[in-house]
Amino acid sequence: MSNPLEQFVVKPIIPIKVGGVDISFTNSSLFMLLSVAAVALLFGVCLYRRSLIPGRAQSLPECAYNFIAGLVKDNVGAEGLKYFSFIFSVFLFVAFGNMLGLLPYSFTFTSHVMAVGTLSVSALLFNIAVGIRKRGFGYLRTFLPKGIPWPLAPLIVPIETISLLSKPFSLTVRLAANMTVGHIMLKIIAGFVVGLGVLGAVPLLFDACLIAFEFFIALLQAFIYTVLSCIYLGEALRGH
Amino acid sequence: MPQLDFSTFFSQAFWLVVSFLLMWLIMARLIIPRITEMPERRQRKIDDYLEAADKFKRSAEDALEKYEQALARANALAAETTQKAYAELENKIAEKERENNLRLEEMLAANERKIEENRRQVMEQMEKAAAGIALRMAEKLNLENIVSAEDMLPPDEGSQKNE
Repeated sequence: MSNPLEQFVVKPIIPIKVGGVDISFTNSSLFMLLSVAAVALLFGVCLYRRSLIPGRAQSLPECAYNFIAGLVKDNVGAEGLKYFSFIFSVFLFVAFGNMLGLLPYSFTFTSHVMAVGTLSVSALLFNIAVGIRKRGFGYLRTFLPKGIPWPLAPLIVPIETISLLSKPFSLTVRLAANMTVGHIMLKIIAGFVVGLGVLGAVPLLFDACLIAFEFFIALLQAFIYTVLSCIYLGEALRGH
Repeated sequence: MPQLDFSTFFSQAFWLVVSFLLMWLIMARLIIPRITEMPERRQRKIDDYLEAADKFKRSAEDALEKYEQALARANALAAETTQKAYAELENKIAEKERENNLRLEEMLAANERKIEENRRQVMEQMEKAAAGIALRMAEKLNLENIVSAEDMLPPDEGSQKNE
């Protein structure tokens, strides 16, 4: 049986080194770009012919748009629509990264803590930037919400700082762990199919069910990631 | 675990940032404007139609108001005309009634006079006849001193008439 963790190995395709830092183009990078390309292609094709009355193809981007716009409006408020493109990109990037990873022989970049962590930290930096632009020095209120007496500041400020910094951490671990565990399960069960001979039909069937479930998980985790990003953005804009 | 292989971290972070920025750029510049273009035009069209419908509704309401005003004016005019006609008619009826009453009274008076006349004539004739009968009875009884039937009449009426 092959090692179930082998699928997560990052292999360089084009080695690149800049100033001693390894930024090789790897299979992970390839699937990141593929997910962008898939989204661009799908939406580009769907939006190629646009009409006032949307056809089936045009409905897909419009439904996705309305879905995420509703999410932003509910969790951030109407002012959040200014940052819609960011949230929309996060959702599609994660959703397509998850789903492309479910194709056989593909690589799931969202199962890597570092990749997802970079996205989460980018989102946090984006939130902080938006919060400071919107509220100026008022953004510091994040660390000491209104109505808290000054003597409590030494206690509250570290707590709020940890809470802020733990947000990308929880986002990252939730998504990466879900993806990793799903793929390990699929791989382990797939390993039984060959080993059991005729009886291998049982794990095969189970894997078939599991992969459908994994597609659901892929979308669900992308959705959860997006919702939480929206909530954090809303907090950055309004405070607690 | 390959996830914890530190040597790939920089590459992953770098390419993730590149990919995500590319995604964001494509979304913000190309895809989202294309998605929102049609719903916006749809909304504009719907708004235009709604506005037009509103205009039509307002003009219809105006027309209704005008119609109701005209109807009210016509009703008022009709009521006035009817009232006038009634008043005229009543006046005429009253006049005719008065005329008829007058004529009736005249006729009644004339008839009463005639009846009175007739009664008097009948009474006169009856008195004459009674006198004649009395005279004849006196003749039969041989009452000499009675000259004529005229003398049998009561002095007041008979004598006055003869004179």
